[in-house]
Amino acid sequence: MHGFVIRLEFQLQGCASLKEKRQRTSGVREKLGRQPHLAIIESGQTDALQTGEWTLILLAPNRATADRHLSQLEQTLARSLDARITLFEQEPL
Amino acid sequence: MATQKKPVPALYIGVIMFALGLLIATLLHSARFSQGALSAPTAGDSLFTLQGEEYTPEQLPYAEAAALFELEQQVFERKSQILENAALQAHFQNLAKARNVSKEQIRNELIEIKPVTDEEVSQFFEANKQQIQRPFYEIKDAIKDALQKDRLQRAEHDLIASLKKQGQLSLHLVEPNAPVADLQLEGYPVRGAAQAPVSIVEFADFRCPHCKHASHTLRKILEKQSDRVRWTMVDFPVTGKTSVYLAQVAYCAGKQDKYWEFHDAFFDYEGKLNEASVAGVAENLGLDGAKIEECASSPEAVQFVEKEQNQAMALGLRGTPAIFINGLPFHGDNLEAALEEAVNAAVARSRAG
Repeated sequence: MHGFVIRLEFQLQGCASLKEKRQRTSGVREKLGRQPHLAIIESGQTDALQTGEWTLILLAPNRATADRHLSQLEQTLARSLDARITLFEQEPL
Repeated sequence: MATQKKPVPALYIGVIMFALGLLIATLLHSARFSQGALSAPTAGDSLFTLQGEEYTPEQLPYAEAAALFELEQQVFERKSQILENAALQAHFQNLAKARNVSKEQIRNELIEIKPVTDEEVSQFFEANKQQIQRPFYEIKDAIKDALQKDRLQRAEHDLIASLKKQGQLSLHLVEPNAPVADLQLEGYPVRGAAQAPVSIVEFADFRCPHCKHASHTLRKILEKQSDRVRWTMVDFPVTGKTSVYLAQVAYCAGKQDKYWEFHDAFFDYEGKLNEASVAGVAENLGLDGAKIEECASSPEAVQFVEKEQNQAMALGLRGTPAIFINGLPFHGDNLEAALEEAVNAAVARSRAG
């Protein structure tokens, strides 16, 4: 089994409430959670309004596929997450 | 009452002919486009026209051809994934219709997956906790979800493989061909039979941990297949000045017919390999360390290693180890299995030819 554990931290500038935070991030989180090779949890900063932290586990049948999924994940986050990514840390499993 | 035929004006005929022409042109274009969308350029296909001359994939420099291939391979894999998923859904739908049951029922029958147990979640966590760096209670649900999805993907993959094996499913996609690198190997150290059907060329750095692993694998393969495999080594120091120096040392050892002895000693070296390690390695191999060190700084050694680096860079290599099997780049996890496959294919070819 090949994969990565990914820790993501981000800043939501101007976010004034937890409701707004949810609105700005839930779409991407759900989209990622539906991916057949990804699991995602909100792993920290749950009560913070302008920062967020997710942990993702990515599994794939081989290293090449895992690398490709990782690169797609980076692209999806850069394109779709309405926040400034302050940390994207991946550890191979 | 007799009907009177109106003469068709020439203008109408012109408009009809024009519309027909437009329709045919559109159909031709869409057929061409759809074909192009499903197939990667193959040998002989024109890639671009420059000043009236058409350029085919074979005319591209290797680095560009390899970059293009990598991109096409990604597209091919993604298309395969999409089409396989669509085929699987259609398969469930067809069976559901034939048996007058729901698609979901068919899916559950064909793809049986056991739920991931708490014990499996704990095992995964224990095996990977260094990398995960989160407390178990926080991450356990994500692990369970990931393992369950992984199991589902594997089950789907197995079903697709079985449909293909039974001849029930075939994808109408053309897999891109990897470009064959024209490697310049004169003067490089070679191990194995000169006329072996399988040629392995490795670009490696003595200080790269993955190269160490690859070196051990290649040695193991060569022990088993010494009459079928030829291994050529090109030093590609990428981790700084020390690596460059070690490559120059290895070149000088080669001048005394001891390249491979140094190669193995460097990759077997316990501890941090650096300039200070050279004298000890030379002494263990019965060579004059001072002479080797003197040679390593000579213009000849410097130029040779530069030539090696230039070749690697011209090939567009971005890291080490980079391995070519019969001119084709190897990408994958299991080098041993890939080489075994290459040996078997080469032997089968030589028997057939």
